[in-house]
Parts: sequence; structure tokens; C-alpha cells
Amino acid sequence: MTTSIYHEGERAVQRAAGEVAIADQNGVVVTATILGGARPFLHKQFMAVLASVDAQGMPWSSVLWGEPGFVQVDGASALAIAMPPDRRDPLDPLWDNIAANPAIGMLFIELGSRRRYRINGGVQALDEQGLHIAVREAYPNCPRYIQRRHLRAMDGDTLPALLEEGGALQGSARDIIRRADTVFVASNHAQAGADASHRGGNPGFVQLVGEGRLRLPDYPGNSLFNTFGNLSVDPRVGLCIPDFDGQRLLQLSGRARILFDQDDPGGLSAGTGRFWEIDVERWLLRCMPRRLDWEYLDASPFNPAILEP
Amino acid sequence: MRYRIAAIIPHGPLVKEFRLAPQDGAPLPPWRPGAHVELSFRARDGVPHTNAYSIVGEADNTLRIAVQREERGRGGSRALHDEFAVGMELRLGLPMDSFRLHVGARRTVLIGGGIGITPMLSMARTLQALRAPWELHYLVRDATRLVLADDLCALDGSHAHIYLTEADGRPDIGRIIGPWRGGGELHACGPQVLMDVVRNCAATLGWPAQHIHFESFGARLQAQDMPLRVHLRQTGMTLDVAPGTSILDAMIDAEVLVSYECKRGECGNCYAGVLSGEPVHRDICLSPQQRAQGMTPCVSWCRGTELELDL
Repeated sequence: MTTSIYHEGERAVQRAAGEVAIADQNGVVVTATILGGARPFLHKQFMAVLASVDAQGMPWSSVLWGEPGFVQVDGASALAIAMPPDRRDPLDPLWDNIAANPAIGMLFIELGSRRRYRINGGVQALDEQGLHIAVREAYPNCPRYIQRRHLRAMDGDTLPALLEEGGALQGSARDIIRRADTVFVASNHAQAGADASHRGGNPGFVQLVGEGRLRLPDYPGNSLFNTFGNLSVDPRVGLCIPDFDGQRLLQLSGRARILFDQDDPGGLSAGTGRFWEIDVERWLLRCMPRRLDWEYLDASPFNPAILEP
Repeated sequence: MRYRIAAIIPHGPLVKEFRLAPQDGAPLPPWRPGAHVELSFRARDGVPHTNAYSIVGEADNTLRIAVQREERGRGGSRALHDEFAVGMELRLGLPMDSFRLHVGARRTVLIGGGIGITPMLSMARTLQALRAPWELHYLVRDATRLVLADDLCALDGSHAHIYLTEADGRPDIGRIIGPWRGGGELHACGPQVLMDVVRNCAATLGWPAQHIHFESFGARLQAQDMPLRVHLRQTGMTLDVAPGTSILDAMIDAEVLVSYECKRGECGNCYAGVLSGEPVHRDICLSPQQRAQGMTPCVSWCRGTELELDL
């Protein structure tokens, strides 16, 4: 059993949650190479959720789309994402970030079947074909809290456009947050690298507090605490919230605070007593770079209750 | 960590208590009430086993566990009973905190069925020390199966209730649990059939799921289990799985992309959508709504011989 896969922040949060031994046990799913069974899964993906880090160390969460096959496993520890320059949205912070910092966290999530696979590593090259990534660690994640959506069609011709940006949360940004059932999170540890993760729940599970604060429950998970571990060392965080029906992506960056042992009479955290709050510093609202026609199938049967509005 | 068997104490015909001392006199690891440890050992026939046991308590710098001999299990408990003696060595993982004590403001109910009494003893001792209102209900087939009597006697007897189910039948679980009135926490450990009864009664009586806590163990393998053919639609793979191997382990061996965690039917991390086939649920974590759509392949099986999963 290896324990060295965790950095000091992950260990601290595992200890605070009382889940060190469980994390050690579950750490066996983390491998240094891509699992054989994950290759066909990766080759059929049309979506990649990425965590990148800017020159100042601020993580951002982004989502890329391509035809199935745009993710290619290249040996057991290398991965390529086809993304030629004309497919890149220059307004996505991702491109400047990877030029400044090779750390990258990746989440491949198949919303239609609730399967997901995490891969972390470093960008080795960005060229005319796209991204070339050296894999450092990879592991499957559980299907819980994922709302099922099926992609009916993807068109290639929507021009990328930045719709709005701001600091205090207002207008469309607030609406998208209120309706959110799927959130992607980017976090970073200066030595151990970036992580991309998924948080899901019933609409309303992301609460708006005042002008610029979000409050989210932390549901029972895999006890690894990759994201919270990073945030306990470096609280800077990036979120990306897809507006599936409105063809928009809301990207936020800010600072997170983890709250343990909170009173939770309504059971909003499904028993963990853990919440986290994010003070949003900046947000960008963009058109999706491609037109995506999603069919919503159903909510996860694991989603805990939410506060009635 | 390596432990030496410091003492073995029989409790009736089926249960042996093992007292385990860390090699080289190291201190015991910290643990919380309800925690379990995983023992790793090799039987004489060379078969490796990893079995989980609740920590009963401590005595003289030893961890105490109670091992019930499971005739229908995979052989780990039989090997511990028949092949291990005082002075021999076992490997133990760190105590795992997957079954935690939640102290209710108004009442904390502990229900232990059979060998499921083991985690309840440390919980009851803690509640008694906290002077929190608690009650322990211990269901056991007959008086020969009563185990850890000294531990029970050390508790305040007015809080502990023993039911001999062969003579008196199963007690009215709904009456034990009582209607939900806030400030309550319910913990139950025992055979999966009893856990299902507790879950259903508690739900009927209005208990919110977050105040009900389960741990289950014992043989999940049933004599009537048939070999299965499992189709994985997303992966495009078909696996033949024989009883005695879990569907999850068969998938892991075949390098299927699947997530998992506890392998005990407690966490739901390996939850898989069922597309066809009739699952036989042996988990202790899924709600009826979750069971209607999927199953935990780590412990559950299937009626008939064909199962199709959305993996």
C-alpha cells in the first residue's frame, strides 16, 4: 500500500475528515499509467474538462469539445488532445495558462453513462495538432451525483464569443449558478500539480450568498480529497459551469474556504457536515465554442436534498 | 503493521476473540468507536485472505476482534479459527472509520444482530462515558450464540436489551426504532436481511436517511447463486462470473473501467446502471430509488443467469 501519492494538504483534509485509512485503501485505484480498459473509453469521448493554471498560480476550469477520437492515448503514459488553432477559443484562459505553466488536470466524463476517468500530468507541447500531455497519474471516479445527458448533435460553426465578464456576480451569471446541476472544479498544488474534478447535485445545490460568494455542500466521496487537499494549501480555485440549454459556459475564479463540522439539520451535505465557500473574484461568460444539442435524461439517484427556494 | 496473536478466547461454538499486540511493542493506533481493521494472512493451503473485523475494544495494549466462523464464506474465518494460534503473526491495516458513531441529542439507538454486536460495544461504551441517552438492542438466535458477555455486563444493564430470536421470534423492529421525532441517531450492524428490515421500518417511521447508519458483513454469497453472464454495454464486453467471485472483481480482473471503494456494499462508488436482468441487492447503502435503476456489483448478484450493466 502506497501512501506517498498524497501531498500534505490532502493528508491534512483526510485527517480532519477522519478518513486517512480509507484514503490509503482507496489510493490503490491511482496508477501512474492509463488503465487498459480506459483506452476505448477515452477514444470515444467528445468532451475534455481541463484544469490549467495561470502565471500567477490561479487555476481555471475549461471544457473542450471535439469529434469522438479527438482524445488519443499514446502509449500508457502519454495522451494527445486534437485541437487545431482554428478550434481554439482564444478568449479561454486555458491557452495562455498552458503556455505559462505546464500543469494540467483532466477529467473525462461521459455524462450519458456516468463514467469518469481522471488523468493528471503536464503539457509537453502545444502544436498545430493540439495538446500533447505526459501522464503522471490516472484513476476512475465514481458515478454518483452525475446528471445524465446525452449529446444528440454537435455543430462546428459557432464562433467563440465572450458575452460578459465581471467581478461581482450579476445577471446571467447568477441565473446559471442558480440552475447549475453540474460544476467542474480546477485546483492546484505548486508541486503536485493541477486537478480537475466534478461536483453535481440538484439545481440549487450551489447557493449564492450575497454579491460574490458561493456555498456548496461536500457530499460523501472517495476520501482522497484531491481538490480539498489542494485548496487547503492554496485556496485559489476555478469553476466552470455549463449552461447546457443556453449554449454558454460560465468560468469563475476565486478563493475557497473549507468548513468542517457544520450544523446541517436539513441534511444538505448528506451527513458529512462539510461545506465550502468560494469568494468569486472574476468571472467570464462565454458562448460554447460549438453548438451542442443535449438531451437531459435524469438526475443522479444519489443527489441529496437541497434547500427549497 | 505486523501484530502478534497475544490471546485467543472462545465465545461459544462459533466465535473466537483474538487479542492482537503490535510487534516490537509499538503503541496501538488510534481508532474511533465503530471502526474496523483489515487482517491480511495466508491460509495453510496458500490462499491469501483479507478479512475485515470491527474493533471490540482494547486490553493490555492489544486490539480485540471477534471472528465468527463462516462455513459458507471464502475460508478466511475458518483458517483463522483452525490454523492460527497464540504467538503467530497477522498483518493489520490501520483502523478504518467507515461506520461512525453519531451521537443524537435526544436518543442514540444501537441495533446489533448476531456477530454485528461487535462495533456496537465500543459505541455503547463511548455513549455511556458521554452520559448521552443510548439504548442497545442485541438480537441473537439463542443463548449459545451470545458473545462478549463480559463486555455486555460492564454496560449499564438498563440500556441494553437482548432478544433470543429462535425462542421468541424477531422483536418488533418498528417498536425498537420508534417514530422519528428529531434528535435521534440510529446505528445497525448485522446480517443484510436484518439491515433491510431496519431500513424499511425506519423509512416507514419517517426517519431521514442521514440519521440512519449501517454496517453489514457476513457471507453475501448465497447457496442458490448461479454462474452469471454479465454484459457490459458501454465497454462491449461479456464476462462469465462464477459464484464466489464478485462481479466487481471480475470486472477489475478484466481491466474494465470501473470505480470502486469499499467492496463491502457500503459506499455506492461502484454503482452501475442495470439495463436488463433482475439484480439481487446485497448492499446496505442504496435507497429503493437507487436500487430501481442500478446495483453495487461488489456484493450484489442476479436472479437468472444474464445481467446487462451500463458500463
